[in-house]
Amino acid sequence: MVEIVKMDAVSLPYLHHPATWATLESGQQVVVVQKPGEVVHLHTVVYVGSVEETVENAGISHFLEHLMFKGTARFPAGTFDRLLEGIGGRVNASTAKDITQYFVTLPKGAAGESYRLALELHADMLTDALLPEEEIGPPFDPSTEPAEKRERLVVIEEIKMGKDNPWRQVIATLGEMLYPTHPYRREVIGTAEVIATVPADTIRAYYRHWYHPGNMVTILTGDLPPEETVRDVARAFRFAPAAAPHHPQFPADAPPATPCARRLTMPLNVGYVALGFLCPSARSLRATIGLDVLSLILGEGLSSRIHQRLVEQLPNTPFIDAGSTHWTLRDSSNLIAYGIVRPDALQPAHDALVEQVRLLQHEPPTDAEVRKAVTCLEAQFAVKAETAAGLSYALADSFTLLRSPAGYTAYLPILHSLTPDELGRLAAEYLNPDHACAVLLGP
Amino acid sequence: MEIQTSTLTNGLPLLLAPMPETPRMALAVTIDGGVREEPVAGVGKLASRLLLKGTARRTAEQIARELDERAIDLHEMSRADCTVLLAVFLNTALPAVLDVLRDVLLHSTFRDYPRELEKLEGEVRSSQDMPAALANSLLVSTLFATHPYGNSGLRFLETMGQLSEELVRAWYGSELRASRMNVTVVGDFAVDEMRERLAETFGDLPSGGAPASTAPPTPVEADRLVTAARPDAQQAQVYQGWYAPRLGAAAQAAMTVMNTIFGGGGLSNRLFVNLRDRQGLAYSVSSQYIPMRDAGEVIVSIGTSPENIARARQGFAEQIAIMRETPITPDELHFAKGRLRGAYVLSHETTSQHCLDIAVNHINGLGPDYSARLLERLEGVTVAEVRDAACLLQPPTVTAIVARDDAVAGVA
Repeated sequence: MVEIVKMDAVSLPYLHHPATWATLESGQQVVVVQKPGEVVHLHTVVYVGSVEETVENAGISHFLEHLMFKGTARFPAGTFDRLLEGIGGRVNASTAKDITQYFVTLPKGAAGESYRLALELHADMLTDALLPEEEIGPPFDPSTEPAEKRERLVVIEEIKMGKDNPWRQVIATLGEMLYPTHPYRREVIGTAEVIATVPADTIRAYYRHWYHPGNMVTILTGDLPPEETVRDVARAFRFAPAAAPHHPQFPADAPPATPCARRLTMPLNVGYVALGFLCPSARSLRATIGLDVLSLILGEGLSSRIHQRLVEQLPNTPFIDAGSTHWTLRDSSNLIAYGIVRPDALQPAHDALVEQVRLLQHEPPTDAEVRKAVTCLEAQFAVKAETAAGLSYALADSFTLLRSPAGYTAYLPILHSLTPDELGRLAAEYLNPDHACAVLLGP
Repeated sequence: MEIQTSTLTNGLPLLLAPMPETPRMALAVTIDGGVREEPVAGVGKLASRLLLKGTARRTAEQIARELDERAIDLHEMSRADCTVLLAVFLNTALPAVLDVLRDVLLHSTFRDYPRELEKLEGEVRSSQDMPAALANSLLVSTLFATHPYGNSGLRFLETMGQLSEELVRAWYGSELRASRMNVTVVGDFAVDEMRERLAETFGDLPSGGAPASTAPPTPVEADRLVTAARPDAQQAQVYQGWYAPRLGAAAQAAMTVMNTIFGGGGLSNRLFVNLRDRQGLAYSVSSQYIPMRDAGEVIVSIGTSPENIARARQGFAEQIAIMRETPITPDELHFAKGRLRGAYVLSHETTSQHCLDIAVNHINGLGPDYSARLLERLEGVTVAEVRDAACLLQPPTVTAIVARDDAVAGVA
């Protein structure tokens, strides 16, 4: 029997009961969020993503995520999906730069029987994946047509799908430019060469190394009794003994000394312009929340500066749409301002975007803009609290970045304490177009 | 969930569903019509977008700022059979929401028409840069060649020269009739008080009007293959479509179950297991059943390497033949019903999901509780009915393929 070594109550906005955050003897973290209603969400975050990879195994974390669904000693391939979807479950997984996560959302069942089955299957998949040869398919030369088309080909099709998506190309190129040395520069999905050739034994060793109880958190949200649920998790996850993995540290890249730009071509109807700014680690919570506010003022929503000034008000504007987004990452985040533009006006659109970002320093956020951003970000907590999955994702994000719920629980107090002056300083430090990377994509 | 219905003196139906202890309320103003009643592709979309682009007393920027300052999400949706303005907001923002909605419904100026048309054109051209969206556009404009349901992005680009501000104003004027609308609210509120507020806000919307009569789609008479070349595309997008039972038809329940087993999302349907898991042909492969008021459609789609086009088409044909010729197992039927029961629960978790469901079902003349009643009908679907539904996937078949030039030349 796995012991619970620590258990804390954590208050969450818009919920009547505190969440329970436990650490098991195995090192696995468990969070139980009590939310009334029929829906239960089970969510496990494993702290391994493309950041742990090298050029030689680029894409292995994501490939492994696909293969985790290919059966265990108790449940052959296909059983997991069929059983859970047959009781109304929504099953999926995703891989990112910092993590891989697996989730099941489903109605709990009259006496909780569906939830218990889901937990059993979810835990079994994470602790006893077989990664069978016949599902992976034999390695092959990617320049040739393989005889047997199994999961390697599915992932290679996914890579090709991404290459047909203009935005994916813009973001991938910005990643290479913003992170000249850090592993964030590589795309999560990896390369067809690695996926075609990586041996099954290498994938199994990667799984055994990283899927360690001390390297994961399981979050359960729904109408669930907290302590009993923590014990359910402790019983369901049965790990083979293994040494805890060591996470290599990567020094942060510095922003470019001067502006840099790349021009890409694709046969498109429209053009794409994006400006990327290197931002601090998401572990710097105050700066991260400040940059969330700046992104909202700059380019999120129809009343944002970029949308109003570039899309709605600029005479003879080349912009069809424009906005910004702040991508939080554990080692070093980034903020991207972007526009979809007329294909004959890539450079003028780039210059207009640069001008608007530069104005953040000369025309710092007003009190009204800050109030608006705070209201919108605060309301996001009500949105997240509406669904079991929404709450779990929000907590999963916090554990991904900080290994604790603090990214969620401390957010609102910090948000309310930010001042326009502080935001102005953050804009000057991190959103300076003289240190930005630009990508222009068009025909 | 109990739905309280009433009608204002101008004929506007109110549908109120209290959902206690929810921090955000959802309010939908739903207008009968939608794409189905468009005289030219894009009229409905432009009209609904222009509702948020300025009134006699508010500029577009003021509307955007008022909404954002109160964290009000206000979306306009131009759907096949109706147009919806859906507001989702913190409970305290109700007065502001009602004030803005009344203003945009009664006093919109439509003066930003030229810019909005330009933006819509850009957005459509941008969406057609995605090969999958282009294939879908080709498919529906061929499947519904003579019906507004075929008003895809491609048709919009072909016919946008026929659009005018006058056409948009006229369309809106004929659609905005209280008896052809409803207002639906779901959230934490007192019913009597809400009814009173809605009467004050929407009591003078114009009454009268009648639905435009639309003819059912004229079916294509023979198999059609339509293609578009995308010079550097890594994947080919292969889409196929057939007519299917319309919304409210007796066979809608059986077709829903059939689609769930065949390829309707998830990881355990037949298309996913056979074409992706076993043959490794694709990352994305699925089927969708879309029932609309005048007709329904089933679309199967796959994104695959250009050299796999023939195998993918053969795979579709084989799986359809098996659905038609071999009865599904009792286990498959049981799992499909379980899946649909679960999907219903998961799609009715929030106030906005409930609100949209009630509003759209009501405007389509099916009753606000139609989704729950359809779920009951799904329970009674038999193996034989699923087979009958699969038999509807038969020629004429419309196929749309977007791929690089040599691959397109190969299939044509």
